[in-house]
Amino acid sequence: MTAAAIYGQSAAALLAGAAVTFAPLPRRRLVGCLAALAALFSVAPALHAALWAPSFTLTQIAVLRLSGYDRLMSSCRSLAAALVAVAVVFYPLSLGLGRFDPFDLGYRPLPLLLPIAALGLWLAWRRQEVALTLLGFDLLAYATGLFDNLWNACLDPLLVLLAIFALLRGPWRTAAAMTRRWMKKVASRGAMAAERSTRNVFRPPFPERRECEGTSERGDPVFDGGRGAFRSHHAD
Amino acid sequence: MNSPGSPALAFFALALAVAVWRAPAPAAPSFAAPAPAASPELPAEFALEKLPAVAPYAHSASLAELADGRLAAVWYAGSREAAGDVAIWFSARDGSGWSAPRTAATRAATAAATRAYVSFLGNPVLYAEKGRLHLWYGSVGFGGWSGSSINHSVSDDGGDSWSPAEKLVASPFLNISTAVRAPPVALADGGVGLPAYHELFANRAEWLRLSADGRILGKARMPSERPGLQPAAAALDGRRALALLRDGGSGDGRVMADATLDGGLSWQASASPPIANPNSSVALLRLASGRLLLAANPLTGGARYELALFLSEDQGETWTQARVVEDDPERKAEYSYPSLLQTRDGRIHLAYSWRSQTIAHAVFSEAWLKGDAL
Repeated sequence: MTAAAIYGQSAAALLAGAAVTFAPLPRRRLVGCLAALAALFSVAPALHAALWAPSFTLTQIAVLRLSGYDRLMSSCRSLAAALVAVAVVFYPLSLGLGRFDPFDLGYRPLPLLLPIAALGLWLAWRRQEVALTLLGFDLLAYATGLFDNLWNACLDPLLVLLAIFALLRGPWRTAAAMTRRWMKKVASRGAMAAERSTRNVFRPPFPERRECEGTSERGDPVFDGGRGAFRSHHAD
Repeated sequence: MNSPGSPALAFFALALAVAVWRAPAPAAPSFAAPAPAASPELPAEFALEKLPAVAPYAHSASLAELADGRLAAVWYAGSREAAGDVAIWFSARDGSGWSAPRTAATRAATAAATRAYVSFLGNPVLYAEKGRLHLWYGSVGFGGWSGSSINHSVSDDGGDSWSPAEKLVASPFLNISTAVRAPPVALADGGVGLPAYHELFANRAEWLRLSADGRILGKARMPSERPGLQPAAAALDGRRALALLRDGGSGDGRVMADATLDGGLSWQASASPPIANPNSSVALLRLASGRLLLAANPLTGGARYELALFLSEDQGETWTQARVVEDDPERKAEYSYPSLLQTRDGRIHLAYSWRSQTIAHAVFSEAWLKGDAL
């Protein structure tokens, strides 16, 4: 059993624990840590077989997530965008498109270390201390022999998916909020139209009561028919 | 990160320096030069036998010569292909015949060593280097053969015991879809060039350069006219090598050729020999005489009922059919996945899957190959 094998199983367990923290549970960090521990002795070998050894970057992000820090990707969206951009070029070329294989460079990575040094300086300039530290640990993980290929220490498909998720989360939330506002507007217009229709078609044989516009007979709050606020008898 | 001298930047700089120090910078590869051409003076001889059966299904043998001169074979066997009970079996042949097979790798042992679930095992490759035996074999966690990855194990006691398997990481995508079939070619630096192939997204062949301690130092694509699989390579001199590939494309195929002029650093497709290939593995060997020997199923339409040997006198430029080892008149049987080896006594050994039931072993001399009567 090699250090790489032990790392792969442990990292898979950490990913499982970090994934649990996304569930709407109380004390999520504690539950995530316990789930990671349980996964180590249960599903980690299967996850390891399915995902192979996660990159050291992703493992560190999982550890940060379990320790309560989960703002890395969202705090540096340009880093997530750069990661996705690299992956879009790297994976097709490495998996057989064309003659150039960038993955081969990762076995003898001296030429790769120059752009990584530039990335480190850029992160320093952007004051991304956490990302810079993570990148440093990636390099150490490669240097200690945990990874034969520098690419695998820094990048993996799941990390790319996480970066895509981080990039889409902002626009998604904006779009969701806009959709909610639009649906509310449509609903209120529909309610107003229905109210007008009711008044025209059904005229009760007794005088119209004022509380229909704002309160119930018991004083419970009722929707005011599109004016955007709840009223109560007592508030009136 | 308020100043260039911050702790994070200092740590990164230190890690970068360590990575620069540890990054390998191997010299340009070259092949261990083949022995000068010599013609062992053996009379025409041919013998055929079967290895002991261990399971209903047996496939994909690989041969090596042990330090004490015994012939060793590995193959995989189980209840059926891709079954959970498939194991890699090892047997050695001395003057009294083949030894009782014993497992060199199992699904459980591989899973325990790699700390990853294993569904089934696949093609093994055996290689002898001084007193050490190397075993590479495929294993699949999930899915079919395209989910295969390569494991490496060694034996320092002639195959009696094997080290825990280590995984070779040859793909950036979940480390899947890398398999082996043909033996490696020795490099001058003590490492080897290991022919491999991928089946995910598209069939394609690849050359892995391994260091003497088994780590991957680099890889190179092996392009071919049609999708190629299971390359079998032979060094022609210190810089040149020829590889012949199984045709993994659709329709009627043919054996395809690749060549390198720089010790395996890069490969180019070369003219395919006019030999049909039914999407079936081939074996290639450079004989001590300098001739090249090819074992293949020269058929089309997926049939594997005929197994033939071809010789090339001009380093793969032209090929002539030398012998037919198996030919089922009913055209139903399968004789496939050949493996070739020439031992130090000059004899040539051929192992192949015999009707998927067991492994057959043919031993013959170059004189028989050239047509001399027995």
